[in-house]
Amino acid sequence: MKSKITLYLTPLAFIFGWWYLAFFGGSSTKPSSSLLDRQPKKVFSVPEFFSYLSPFSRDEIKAALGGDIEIMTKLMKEWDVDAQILESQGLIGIRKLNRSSFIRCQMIGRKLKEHSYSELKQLENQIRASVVIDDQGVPFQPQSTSQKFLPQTFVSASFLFALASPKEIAAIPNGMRAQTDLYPKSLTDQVPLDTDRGNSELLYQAQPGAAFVADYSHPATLEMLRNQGVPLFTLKEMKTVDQVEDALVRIGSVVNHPLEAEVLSQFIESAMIAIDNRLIALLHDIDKNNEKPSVMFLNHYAQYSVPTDRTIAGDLLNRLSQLQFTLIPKPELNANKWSLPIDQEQIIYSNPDCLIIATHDPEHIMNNIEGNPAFDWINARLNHQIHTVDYSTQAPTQYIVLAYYDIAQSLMRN
Amino acid sequence: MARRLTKTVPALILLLFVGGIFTLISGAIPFEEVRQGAIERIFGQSTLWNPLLDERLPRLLVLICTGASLAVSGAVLQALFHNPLASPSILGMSCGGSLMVTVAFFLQWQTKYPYSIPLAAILGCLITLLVVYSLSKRNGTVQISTLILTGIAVSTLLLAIQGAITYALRDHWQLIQTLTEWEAGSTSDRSWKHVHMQMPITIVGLFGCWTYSREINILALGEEEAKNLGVEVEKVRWRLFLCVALLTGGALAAVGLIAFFGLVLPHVIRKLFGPDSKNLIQLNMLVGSTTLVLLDLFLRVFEIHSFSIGNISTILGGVFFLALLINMSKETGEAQYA
Repeated sequence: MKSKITLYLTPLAFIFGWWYLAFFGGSSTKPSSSLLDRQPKKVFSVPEFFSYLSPFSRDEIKAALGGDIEIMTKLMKEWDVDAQILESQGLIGIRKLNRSSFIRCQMIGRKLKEHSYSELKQLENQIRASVVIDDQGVPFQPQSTSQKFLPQTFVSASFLFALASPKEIAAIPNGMRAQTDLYPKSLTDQVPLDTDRGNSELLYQAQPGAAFVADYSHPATLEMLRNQGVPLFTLKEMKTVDQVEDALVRIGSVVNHPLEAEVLSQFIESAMIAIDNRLIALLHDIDKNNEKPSVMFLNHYAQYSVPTDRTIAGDLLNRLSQLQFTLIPKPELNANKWSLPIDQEQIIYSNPDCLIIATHDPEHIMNNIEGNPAFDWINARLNHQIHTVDYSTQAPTQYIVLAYYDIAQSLMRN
Repeated sequence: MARRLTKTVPALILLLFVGGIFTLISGAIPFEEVRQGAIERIFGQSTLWNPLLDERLPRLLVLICTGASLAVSGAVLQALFHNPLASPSILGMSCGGSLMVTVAFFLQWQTKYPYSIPLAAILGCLITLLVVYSLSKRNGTVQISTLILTGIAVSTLLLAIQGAITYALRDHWQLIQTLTEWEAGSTSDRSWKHVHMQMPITIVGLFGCWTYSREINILALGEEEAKNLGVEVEKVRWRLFLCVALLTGGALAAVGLIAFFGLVLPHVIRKLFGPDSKNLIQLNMLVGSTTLVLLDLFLRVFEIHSFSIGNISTILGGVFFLALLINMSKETGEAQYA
């Protein structure tokens, strides 16, 4: 008996003893921080004239992207003035929304605010397409009568929440209700059903005028909807902000909200330009010294990866690159993978001056980085320029603006 | 057979050595840059983090431990079950470890307790083993056939539970993505934490298997023969299962799921060198380590990002196994016609 106990206890003592010494037995073997020996490297500095610009609040942009036309038109006006201020500072490359689009959005905004039915109808009739073509080339004839619609994908549901009233939405994809940050409970609660495959009879009862599906939708669901006589409007995976804007306008026509769709689409364009303008201003001072800090953008799940141009995040990185930001690694054009895994050593070797990590668990990532002496090797740590951004906004919806906003804000943080 | 062994073992040691050296010298940061820092660290002139000592060396050790663990686990189980298709998954251990890790991810323990994932993997393997073993007991004894059936039943149940959890989480795509990456197996960013987590378990597991080499040899002949030769079958088998659970759990914790490794390598080694488990344990340790080190090196040198080490080993293992089966059926066919 005694020898049996010894037989089992000896290996146990060995294992737990090893673990105790390794994990709780002091840190003498742990590599230490090198921060004290090193000087800060290149960083972005926010120019003084930024104080003249509009507040640029994330909450306001988010509310506008959620469909608040009044805030949209207000922000578009503010950003137009901001662009003029930046131009007056001698900045080159500052852009503004196309004049006719800007004026038209302001006009539509005013009429929508006044609820002037006849004038709205007149404006609607001007832009409503008689036929909308989906991504599979199938023509779709929009109806001008009020109907319910079935967004079978997150992307189309996100568009519909911004364009139409929740009462016009028959069901939303499972899991959307959990994303309360982007889709408040008060909004999602107004939609009674989920697009669960078990809900097919209830969905049939709702008599949707059209279902928005994707090329990755479940074939059985598509078959069921076809059998129920629901017209299908297919949207393929979107990889650029332009594709998002285009899809938004087409969905707006299908769901009989072409004016809202037009304003939202132009708002997205306007917001992206406004962010670009601020980023150009950020490079203004640095250009003089000819020393640009390098920027690395990573996604993180179980490991780090760099998004490619097959994703919408890659499109944002291309945009940054076109603004002359020094991105590492350089964005790969026509990549054949969605992302490229990158390990710790590659990050260290690249030695970015600013590191931005998109994650759904920022606290965990920052704790890991704080406790990891490997990151002492990179300038970003020394510069206090390691930032996390919300991963959930990286979906190809109108909220992609927030993803770009978060990247820009990370760069603007001193 | 002995001649083949004397030729092959030094070649394998050389391959492992070369693979190890290449693993240590190849990386994003040029070797010249890391060498100086490493020398300074070794001689106590510096305490700075060094890619050679703190990233490549831990990765190499994890690869060696994992390769050895999986191959030896498979070899031991194939000998105990007298079945060339036996692997750690046959007793549900891999499924148990994997399920516990899924639960840990689901409850987000990994954010609060950094060591929860490795511990969950090891505990999952051990708990599953205990459950399977206790359910297989009939009148105080455990029959191999009952054990295999119970293992398959428990595996099926565990897979079903894992499937149900994954299905329930299908809309939490961030979590699903994390789980997918973990399940695919990865050797990126291994640190001393992983080495410390796995090394003692591996040492105990391998030492246990090596100690019982003679008994494994006798058990491979059949239980009755083993009993007649004085082997305490139940006791030895239980201890070996414990060792296998430790080895599988450690490998699962350090690298993730690497299927087929424990199935194909022992099978090939037995074919090449015969069934003597005195050599089988050491050979499996050597071949397992070498294969995993070279596979990882291959993925890194050729920058193959589309496959994880788990994917590639499964694909290679599956193809190799199929080729083996086809070859076997051909041989059987030829023998019948002869």
